[in-house]
Amino acid sequence: MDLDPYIVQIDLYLSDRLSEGERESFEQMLTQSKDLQTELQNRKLERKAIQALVKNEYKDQIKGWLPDLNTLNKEIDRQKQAETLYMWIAAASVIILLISIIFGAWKEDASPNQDLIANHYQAPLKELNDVVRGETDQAREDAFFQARNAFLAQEYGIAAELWAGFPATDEAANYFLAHSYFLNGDYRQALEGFAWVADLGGRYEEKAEFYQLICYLALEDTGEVFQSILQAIASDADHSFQLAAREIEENMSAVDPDDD
Amino acid sequence: MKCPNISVSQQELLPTLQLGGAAMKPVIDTVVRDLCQCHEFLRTVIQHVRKNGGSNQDAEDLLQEGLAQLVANLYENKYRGESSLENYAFGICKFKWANVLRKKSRHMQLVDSDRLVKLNPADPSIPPSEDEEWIWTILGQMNEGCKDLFKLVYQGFTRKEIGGQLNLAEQTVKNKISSCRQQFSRLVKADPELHQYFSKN
Repeated sequence: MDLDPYIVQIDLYLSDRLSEGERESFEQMLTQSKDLQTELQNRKLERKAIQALVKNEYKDQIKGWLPDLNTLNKEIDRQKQAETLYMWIAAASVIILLISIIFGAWKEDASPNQDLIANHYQAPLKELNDVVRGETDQAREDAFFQARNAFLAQEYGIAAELWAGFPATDEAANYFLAHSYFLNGDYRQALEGFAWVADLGGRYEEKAEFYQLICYLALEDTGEVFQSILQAIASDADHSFQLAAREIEENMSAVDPDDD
Repeated sequence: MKCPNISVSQQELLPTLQLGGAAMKPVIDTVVRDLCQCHEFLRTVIQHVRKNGGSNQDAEDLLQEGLAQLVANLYENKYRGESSLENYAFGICKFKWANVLRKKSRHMQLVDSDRLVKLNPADPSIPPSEDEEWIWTILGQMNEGCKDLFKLVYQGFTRKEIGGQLNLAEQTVKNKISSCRQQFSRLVKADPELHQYFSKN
Protein backbone atom coordinates (compact mmCIF):
# COMPACT_ATOMS: atom_id res chain seq x y z
CA MET A 1 0.00 0.00 0.00
CA ASP A 2 1.27 3.46 -0.86
CA LEU A 3 1.35 5.31 2.48
CA ASP A 4 2.43 8.69 1.09
CA PRO A 5 -1.07 10.24 1.15
CA TYR A 6 -1.38 9.31 4.81
CA ILE A 7 1.96 10.58 6.08
CA VAL A 8 0.66 14.01 7.18
CA GLN A 9 -2.66 12.57 8.26
CA ILE A 10 -0.95 10.23 10.72
CA ASP A 11 0.70 13.23 12.41
CA LEU A 12 -2.62 15.05 12.58
CA TYR A 13 -4.36 11.92 13.86
CA LEU A 14 -1.81 11.39 16.64
CA SER A 15 -2.09 15.01 17.78
CA ASP A 16 -5.89 14.91 17.60
CA ARG A 17 -6.01 17.65 14.98
CA LEU A 18 -8.29 15.89 12.48
CA SER A 19 -11.92 16.91 12.17
CA GLU A 20 -14.48 14.35 13.29
CA GLY A 21 -15.21 13.24 9.71
CA GLU A 22 -11.52 13.01 8.82
CA ARG A 23 -10.83 10.98 11.93
CA GLU A 24 -13.66 8.56 11.23
CA SER A 25 -12.53 7.94 7.67
CA PHE A 26 -8.91 7.57 8.81
CA GLU A 27 -9.88 5.02 11.46
CA GLN A 28 -11.90 3.11 8.89
CA MET A 29 -8.87 3.01 6.62
CA LEU A 30 -6.80 1.87 9.59
CA THR A 31 -8.98 -1.18 10.19
CA GLN A 32 -8.53 -2.18 6.57
CA SER A 33 -4.77 -1.72 6.17
CA LYS A 34 -2.15 -3.68 8.06
CA ASP A 35 0.59 -1.45 6.55
CA LEU A 36 -1.11 1.65 7.89
CA GLN A 37 -1.39 0.05 11.33
CA THR A 38 2.33 -0.75 11.33
CA GLU A 39 3.17 2.76 10.16
CA LEU A 40 0.99 4.26 12.88
CA GLN A 41 2.73 2.10 15.48
CA ASN A 42 6.16 3.21 14.22
CA ARG A 43 5.11 6.83 14.29
CA LYS A 44 3.90 6.50 17.88
CA LEU A 45 7.32 5.22 18.89
CA GLU A 46 8.96 7.94 16.85
CA ARG A 47 6.88 10.60 18.59
CA LYS A 48 7.77 9.14 21.96
CA ALA A 49 11.44 9.43 21.10
CA ILE A 50 11.10 12.96 19.73
CA GLN A 51 9.09 13.98 22.75
CA ALA A 52 12.01 12.92 24.97
CA LEU A 53 14.36 14.92 22.74
CA VAL A 54 12.22 18.07 22.78
CA LYS A 55 11.61 17.80 26.52
CA ASN A 56 15.32 17.49 27.13
CA GLU A 57 16.04 20.61 25.12
CA TYR A 58 13.28 22.54 26.86
CA LYS A 59 14.53 21.44 30.29
CA ASP A 60 17.74 23.37 29.64
CA GLN A 61 15.78 26.37 28.43
CA ILE A 62 13.42 26.24 31.41
CA LYS A 63 16.39 26.15 33.76
CA GLY A 64 17.39 29.50 32.30
CA TRP A 65 13.86 30.90 32.53
CA LEU A 66 13.34 29.95 36.18
CA PRO A 67 14.33 32.61 38.73
CA ASP A 68 16.76 31.95 41.57
CA LEU A 69 14.74 29.50 43.65
CA ASN A 70 16.92 30.02 46.75
CA THR A 71 15.10 33.26 47.54
CA LEU A 72 11.76 31.52 47.16
CA ASN A 73 12.92 28.59 49.31
CA LYS A 74 14.03 31.00 52.05
CA GLU A 75 10.65 32.72 51.86
CA ILE A 76 8.90 29.35 52.25
CA ASP A 77 11.18 28.51 55.20
CA ARG A 78 10.27 31.79 56.89
CA GLN A 79 6.58 31.14 56.23
CA LYS A 80 6.92 27.65 57.71
CA GLN A 81 8.66 29.04 60.80
CA ALA A 82 5.89 31.61 61.20
CA GLU A 83 3.25 28.89 60.84
CA THR A 84 5.01 26.82 63.52
CA LEU A 85 5.17 29.87 65.76
CA TYR A 86 1.43 30.59 65.24
CA MET A 87 0.71 26.96 66.01
CA TRP A 88 2.60 27.18 69.30
CA ILE A 89 0.88 30.45 70.18
CA ALA A 90 -2.50 28.89 69.43
CA ALA A 91 -1.65 25.83 71.51
CA ALA A 92 -0.46 28.03 74.39
CA SER A 93 -3.67 30.11 74.18
CA VAL A 94 -5.78 26.97 74.39
CA ILE A 95 -3.83 25.78 77.42
CA ILE A 96 -4.18 29.18 79.13
CA LEU A 97 -7.90 29.21 78.37
CA LEU A 98 -8.31 25.73 79.82
CA ILE A 99 -6.40 26.70 82.95
CA SER A 100 -8.56 29.83 83.27
CA ILE A 101 -11.71 27.75 83.01
CA ILE A 102 -10.45 25.25 85.55
CA PHE A 103 -9.49 27.94 88.06
CA GLY A 104 -12.62 29.97 87.45
CA ALA A 105 -10.82 33.06 86.19
CA TRP A 106 -12.99 33.00 83.13
CA LYS A 107 -16.69 33.13 83.85
CA GLU A 108 -19.00 32.80 80.93
CA ASP A 109 -22.08 33.80 82.91
CA ALA A 110 -20.62 36.94 84.47
CA SER A 111 -23.32 39.58 84.59
CA PRO A 112 -22.72 42.61 82.36
CA ASN A 113 -24.11 44.70 85.25
CA GLN A 114 -21.51 43.39 87.66
CA ASP A 115 -19.78 46.76 88.07
CA LEU A 116 -23.02 48.53 88.95
CA ILE A 117 -23.91 45.83 91.45
CA ALA A 118 -20.45 45.93 93.02
CA ASN A 119 -20.67 49.73 93.36
CA HIS A 120 -24.14 49.86 94.87
CA TYR A 121 -24.76 46.71 96.84
CA GLN A 122 -23.71 46.62 100.45
CA ALA A 123 -24.18 43.65 102.73
CA PRO A 124 -26.16 44.75 105.83
CA LEU A 125 -23.31 44.22 108.28
CA LYS A 126 -23.82 47.50 110.11
CA GLU A 127 -27.54 46.92 110.46
CA LEU A 128 -26.90 43.43 111.79
CA ASN A 129 -24.56 44.81 114.44
CA ASP A 130 -26.96 47.58 115.38
CA VAL A 131 -30.05 45.46 115.49
CA VAL A 132 -31.70 45.30 118.87
CA ARG A 133 -34.27 42.61 119.45
CA GLY A 134 -36.78 42.82 122.22
CA GLU A 135 -38.00 39.26 121.85
CA THR A 136 -40.04 37.84 124.66
CA ASP A 137 -39.51 34.39 123.18
CA GLN A 138 -35.96 33.38 124.09
CA ALA A 139 -35.87 30.62 121.49
CA ARG A 140 -36.71 33.11 118.73
CA GLU A 141 -34.15 35.55 120.06
CA ASP A 142 -31.55 32.79 119.90
CA ALA A 143 -32.62 31.77 116.40
CA PHE A 144 -32.24 35.38 115.22
CA PHE A 145 -28.69 35.68 116.53
CA GLN A 146 -27.86 32.20 115.22
CA ALA A 147 -28.94 33.39 111.78
CA ARG A 148 -26.91 36.59 112.21
CA ASN A 149 -23.81 34.57 113.08
CA ALA A 150 -24.32 32.30 110.07
CA PHE A 151 -24.69 35.43 107.86
CA LEU A 152 -21.49 36.95 109.28
CA ALA A 153 -19.74 33.61 108.69
CA GLN A 154 -20.92 33.92 105.04
CA GLU A 155 -23.11 30.84 105.40
CA TYR A 156 -25.97 32.53 103.62
CA GLY A 157 -27.93 29.35 102.93
CA ILE A 158 -28.13 28.52 106.64
CA ALA A 159 -28.93 32.13 107.51
CA ALA A 160 -31.75 32.15 104.94
CA GLU A 161 -33.22 28.95 106.35
CA LEU A 162 -33.23 30.36 109.89
CA TRP A 163 -34.72 33.74 108.95
CA ALA A 164 -37.33 32.09 106.79
CA GLY A 165 -38.78 30.70 110.03
CA PHE A 166 -39.71 34.17 111.28
CA PRO A 167 -43.19 35.65 110.71
CA ALA A 168 -43.85 37.55 107.48
CA THR A 169 -44.50 40.69 109.48
CA ASP A 170 -41.02 40.64 111.07
CA GLU A 171 -39.47 43.39 108.98
CA ALA A 172 -35.86 42.98 110.10
CA ALA A 173 -35.85 39.19 109.75
CA ASN A 174 -37.37 39.45 106.26
CA TYR A 175 -34.94 42.18 105.26
CA PHE A 176 -31.94 40.07 106.25
CA LEU A 177 -33.59 37.02 104.67
CA ALA A 178 -33.70 38.88 101.33
CA HIS A 179 -30.01 39.76 101.69
CA SER A 180 -29.19 36.12 102.49
CA TYR A 181 -30.97 35.01 99.31
CA PHE A 182 -29.14 37.68 97.33
CA LEU A 183 -25.70 36.73 98.62
CA ASN A 184 -26.54 33.08 98.09
CA GLY A 185 -27.12 33.88 94.38
CA ASP A 186 -30.88 33.38 94.52
CA TYR A 187 -31.79 36.76 93.01
CA ARG A 188 -35.40 35.97 92.17
CA GLN A 189 -36.23 35.11 95.81
CA ALA A 190 -34.18 38.07 97.01
CA LEU A 191 -36.25 40.34 94.74
CA GLU A 192 -39.50 39.01 96.16
CA GLY A 193 -38.12 39.40 99.68
CA PHE A 194 -37.11 43.03 99.18
CA ALA A 195 -40.45 43.79 97.51
CA TRP A 196 -42.24 42.36 100.54
CA VAL A 197 -40.14 44.40 102.97
CA ALA A 198 -40.70 47.56 100.90
CA ASP A 199 -44.44 46.96 101.08
CA LEU A 200 -44.27 46.65 104.86
CA GLY A 201 -43.29 50.35 104.86
CA GLY A 202 -41.05 50.21 107.92
CA ARG A 203 -37.53 51.40 108.63
CA TYR A 204 -36.01 49.26 105.82
CA GLU A 205 -38.51 50.42 103.20
CA GLU A 206 -36.19 52.67 101.16
CA LYS A 207 -33.30 50.25 101.31
CA ALA A 208 -35.54 47.38 100.22
CA GLU A 209 -36.89 49.51 97.35
CA PHE A 210 -33.36 50.24 96.16
CA TYR A 211 -32.12 46.67 96.54
CA GLN A 212 -34.94 45.54 94.29
CA LEU A 213 -33.09 47.45 91.55
CA ILE A 214 -29.90 45.59 92.42
CA CYS A 215 -31.76 42.28 92.16
CA TYR A 216 -33.12 43.24 88.72
CA LEU A 217 -29.59 44.13 87.61
CA ALA A 218 -28.32 40.76 88.82
CA LEU A 219 -31.16 39.07 86.93
CA GLU A 220 -30.30 41.22 83.87
CA ASP A 221 -33.92 42.21 83.74
CA THR A 222 -33.98 45.97 83.19
CA GLY A 223 -37.45 46.07 81.72
CA GLU A 224 -40.49 48.11 82.56
CA VAL A 225 -40.73 47.31 86.30
CA PHE A 226 -37.05 48.03 86.83
CA GLN A 227 -37.34 51.34 84.95
CA SER A 228 -40.39 52.46 86.88
CA ILE A 229 -38.74 51.77 90.27
CA LEU A 230 -35.53 53.43 89.09
CA GLN A 231 -37.38 56.56 87.93
CA ALA A 232 -39.41 56.73 91.10
CA ILE A 233 -36.31 56.64 93.31
CA ALA A 234 -34.22 58.92 91.07
CA SER A 235 -36.95 61.58 90.97
CA ASP A 236 -37.66 61.47 94.71
CA ALA A 237 -35.54 64.17 96.35
CA ASP A 238 -36.36 62.79 99.77
CA HIS A 239 -35.34 59.24 98.99
CA SER A 240 -32.03 58.35 100.64
CA PHE A 241 -30.97 56.38 97.50
CA GLN A 242 -31.81 59.13 94.99
CA LEU A 243 -28.16 59.79 94.10
CA ALA A 244 -27.38 56.11 93.75
CA ALA A 245 -30.43 55.66 91.51
CA ARG A 246 -29.34 58.60 89.34
CA GLU A 247 -25.88 57.09 89.00
CA ILE A 248 -27.42 53.83 87.81
CA GLU A 249 -29.63 55.77 85.41
CA GLU A 250 -26.62 57.57 83.92
CA ASN A 251 -24.69 54.33 83.61
CA MET A 252 -27.57 52.59 81.93
CA SER A 253 -28.12 55.36 79.39
CA ALA A 254 -24.37 55.36 78.61
CA VAL A 255 -24.42 51.69 77.61
CA ASP A 256 -27.91 51.53 76.07
CA PRO A 257 -27.40 51.22 72.29
CA ASP A 258 -31.00 52.26 71.56
CA ASP A 259 -30.67 55.48 73.50
CA ASP A 260 -29.45 57.71 70.66
CA MET B 1 -3.74 29.41 42.33
CA LYS B 2 -3.61 32.27 39.84
CA CYS B 3 -0.84 33.52 37.60
CA PRO B 4 -1.93 36.94 36.38
CA ASN B 5 1.38 37.40 34.54
CA ILE B 6 0.54 34.79 31.88
CA SER B 7 0.25 37.00 28.83
CA VAL B 8 -1.55 34.55 26.52
CA SER B 9 -5.21 33.98 27.32
CA GLN B 10 -6.90 30.60 27.05
CA GLN B 11 -8.99 32.01 24.18
CA GLU B 12 -5.80 32.72 22.25
CA LEU B 13 -3.93 29.59 23.28
CA LEU B 14 -6.50 26.86 22.54
CA PRO B 15 -7.19 27.70 18.86
CA THR B 16 -3.45 28.03 18.22
CA LEU B 17 -2.84 24.56 19.65
CA GLN B 18 -5.76 23.11 17.73
CA LEU B 19 -4.53 24.51 14.41
CA GLY B 20 -0.90 23.47 14.97
CA GLY B 21 1.77 24.81 12.63
CA ALA B 22 4.65 27.18 13.18
CA ALA B 23 2.50 29.59 15.21
CA MET B 24 2.54 27.17 18.17
CA LYS B 25 6.18 27.52 19.17
CA PRO B 26 6.26 31.25 20.07
CA VAL B 27 2.95 30.95 21.96
CA ILE B 28 4.09 27.86 23.92
CA ASP B 29 7.45 29.47 24.69
CA THR B 30 5.69 32.58 26.00
CA VAL B 31 3.27 30.79 28.33
CA VAL B 32 5.97 28.51 29.75
CA ARG B 33 8.33 31.45 30.29
CA ASP B 34 5.49 33.34 32.03
CA LEU B 35 4.78 30.32 34.25
CA CYS B 36 8.48 30.23 35.20
CA GLN B 37 8.06 33.77 36.52
CA CYS B 38 4.86 33.06 38.44
CA HIS B 39 5.92 32.88 42.09
CA GLU B 40 2.58 31.49 43.24
CA PHE B 41 2.93 28.53 40.88
CA LEU B 42 6.57 27.94 41.83
CA ARG B 43 5.82 28.21 45.55
CA THR B 44 2.91 25.76 45.25
CA VAL B 45 5.08 23.15 43.52
CA ILE B 46 8.00 23.59 45.94
CA GLN B 47 5.71 23.32 48.96
CA HIS B 48 4.07 20.21 47.53
CA VAL B 49 7.43 18.48 47.07
CA ARG B 50 8.72 19.51 50.48
CA LYS B 51 5.54 18.38 52.19
CA ASN B 52 5.86 15.01 50.46
CA GLY B 53 9.36 14.05 51.44
CA GLY B 54 11.34 15.97 48.82
CA SER B 55 14.18 18.45 49.04
CA ASN B 56 14.63 21.90 47.46
CA GLN B 57 16.73 20.26 44.75
CA ASP B 58 13.97 17.72 44.06
CA ALA B 59 11.52 20.60 43.69
CA GLU B 60 13.77 22.36 41.21
CA ASP B 61 14.23 19.16 39.18
CA LEU B 62 10.50 18.55 39.24
CA LEU B 63 9.76 22.07 38.01
CA GLN B 64 12.04 21.54 35.01
CA GLU B 65 10.64 18.09 34.34
CA GLY B 66 7.00 19.12 34.85
CA LEU B 67 7.24 22.24 32.69
CA ALA B 68 9.02 20.28 29.94
CA GLN B 69 6.15 17.79 30.05
CA LEU B 70 3.72 20.71 29.82
CA VAL B 71 5.50 21.83 26.66
CA ALA B 72 5.14 18.33 25.19
CA ASN B 73 1.45 18.18 26.11
CA LEU B 74 0.82 21.56 24.51
CA TYR B 75 2.58 20.51 21.28
CA GLU B 76 0.57 17.29 21.26
CA ASN B 77 -2.66 19.22 21.74
CA LYS B 78 -3.50 17.46 24.99
CA TYR B 79 -4.46 20.61 26.90
CA ARG B 80 -8.21 21.18 26.51
CA GLY B 81 -8.65 24.25 28.70
CA GLU B 82 -10.72 22.41 31.29
CA SER B 83 -8.65 24.03 34.04
CA SER B 84 -6.40 27.07 34.07
CA LEU B 85 -2.95 26.54 32.60
CA GLU B 86 -1.26 27.02 35.99
CA ASN B 87 -3.49 24.39 37.63
CA TYR B 88 -2.93 22.04 34.70
CA ALA B 89 0.85 22.50 35.05
CA PHE B 90 0.62 21.90 38.81
CA GLY B 91 -1.38 18.73 38.11
CA ILE B 92 1.43 17.47 35.85
CA CYS B 93 4.02 18.22 38.55
CA LYS B 94 1.95 16.45 41.22
CA PHE B 95 1.53 13.41 38.99
CA LYS B 96 5.24 13.31 38.20
CA TRP B 97 6.18 13.61 41.87
CA ALA B 98 3.83 10.74 42.73
CA ASN B 99 5.61 8.69 40.05
CA VAL B 100 9.00 9.59 41.50
CA LEU B 101 7.88 8.44 44.93
CA ARG B 102 6.45 5.22 43.48
CA LYS B 103 9.63 4.50 41.57
CA LYS B 104 11.74 5.26 44.63
CA SER B 105 9.83 2.73 46.66
CA ARG B 106 9.98 0.13 43.84
CA HIS B 107 13.70 0.77 43.42
CA MET B 108 14.14 0.38 47.16
CA GLN B 109 12.49 -3.04 47.08
CA LEU B 110 14.67 -4.16 44.18
CA VAL B 111 17.82 -3.04 45.90
CA ASP B 112 17.06 -4.94 49.06
CA SER B 113 14.16 -7.30 48.75
CA ASP B 114 14.77 -9.11 52.04
CA ARG B 115 15.15 -6.11 54.24
CA LEU B 116 13.02 -3.10 53.42
CA VAL B 117 15.20 -0.03 53.82
CA LYS B 118 13.50 3.29 54.20
CA LEU B 119 14.96 5.79 51.74
CA ASN B 120 16.23 9.06 53.11
CA PRO B 121 13.48 11.46 52.01
CA ALA B 122 16.07 14.03 51.06
CA ASP B 123 17.86 11.58 48.75
CA PRO B 124 17.79 13.29 45.37
CA SER B 125 18.70 10.14 43.46
CA ILE B 126 15.61 9.67 41.36
CA PRO B 127 15.71 6.22 39.77
CA PRO B 128 16.12 6.50 35.98
CA SER B 129 13.08 5.92 33.83
CA GLU B 130 13.24 2.57 32.06
CA ASP B 131 11.41 3.97 29.02
CA GLU B 132 13.82 6.83 28.61
CA GLU B 133 16.85 4.56 28.64
CA TRP B 134 15.60 2.77 25.49
CA ILE B 135 14.72 6.03 23.82
CA TRP B 136 18.16 7.49 24.38
CA THR B 137 19.75 4.31 23.04
CA ILE B 138 17.96 4.83 19.74
CA LEU B 139 18.41 8.58 19.61
CA GLY B 140 22.10 8.15 20.31
CA GLN B 141 22.43 6.20 17.08
CA MET B 142 20.52 8.64 14.89
CA ASN B 143 22.23 11.44 13.00
CA GLU B 144 21.77 15.04 14.17
CA GLY B 145 20.10 16.16 10.93
CA CYS B 146 17.33 13.63 11.43
CA LYS B 147 16.84 14.61 15.05
CA ASP B 148 16.52 18.29 14.05
CA LEU B 149 14.01 17.41 11.36
CA PHE B 150 11.97 15.27 13.73
CA LYS B 151 11.89 18.08 16.29
CA LEU B 152 10.54 20.54 13.72
CA VAL B 153 7.87 18.08 12.63
CA TYR B 154 6.92 17.45 16.25
CA GLN B 155 6.70 21.19 16.90
CA GLY B 156 4.07 21.45 14.18
CA PHE B 157 6.07 23.00 11.36
CA THR B 158 4.76 22.10 7.91
CA ARG B 159 7.12 20.64 5.29
CA LYS B 160 7.08 24.01 3.54
CA GLU B 161 7.97 25.88 6.76
CA ILE B 162 10.76 23.42 7.49
CA GLY B 163 12.08 23.93 3.98
CA GLY B 164 12.05 27.69 4.61
CA GLN B 165 14.01 27.26 7.84
CA LEU B 166 16.57 24.85 6.39
CA ASN B 167 16.78 26.40 2.93
CA LEU B 168 15.51 23.25 1.28
CA ALA B 169 12.79 22.57 -1.24
CA GLU B 170 9.56 21.12 0.14
CA GLN B 171 10.09 17.88 -1.79
CA THR B 172 13.61 17.54 -0.42
CA VAL B 173 12.23 17.94 3.10
CA LYS B 174 9.68 15.19 2.43
CA ASN B 175 12.39 12.87 1.14
CA LYS B 176 14.64 13.58 4.10
CA ILE B 177 11.84 12.96 6.60
CA SER B 178 11.03 9.72 4.86
CA SER B 179 14.65 8.59 4.96
CA CYS B 180 14.96 9.54 8.66
CA ARG B 181 11.88 7.50 9.44
CA GLN B 182 13.37 4.52 7.70
CA GLN B 183 16.53 4.99 9.74
CA PHE B 184 14.50 5.05 12.94
CA SER B 185 12.60 1.87 12.01
CA ARG B 186 15.83 0.13 11.04
CA LEU B 187 17.39 0.96 14.40
CA VAL B 188 14.41 -0.42 16.26
CA LYS B 189 14.33 -3.57 14.19
CA ALA B 190 18.08 -4.07 14.40
CA ASP B 191 17.97 -4.55 18.14
CA PRO B 192 15.72 -7.53 18.92
CA GLU B 193 15.48 -6.44 22.54
CA LEU B 194 14.39 -2.95 21.55
CA HIS B 195 12.06 -4.30 18.92
CA GLN B 196 10.41 -6.57 21.47
CA TYR B 197 10.18 -3.76 23.99
CA PHE B 198 8.54 -1.40 21.52
CA SER B 199 6.22 -4.07 20.18
CA LYS B 200 5.11 -4.73 23.72
CA ASN B 201 4.53 -1.02 24.40
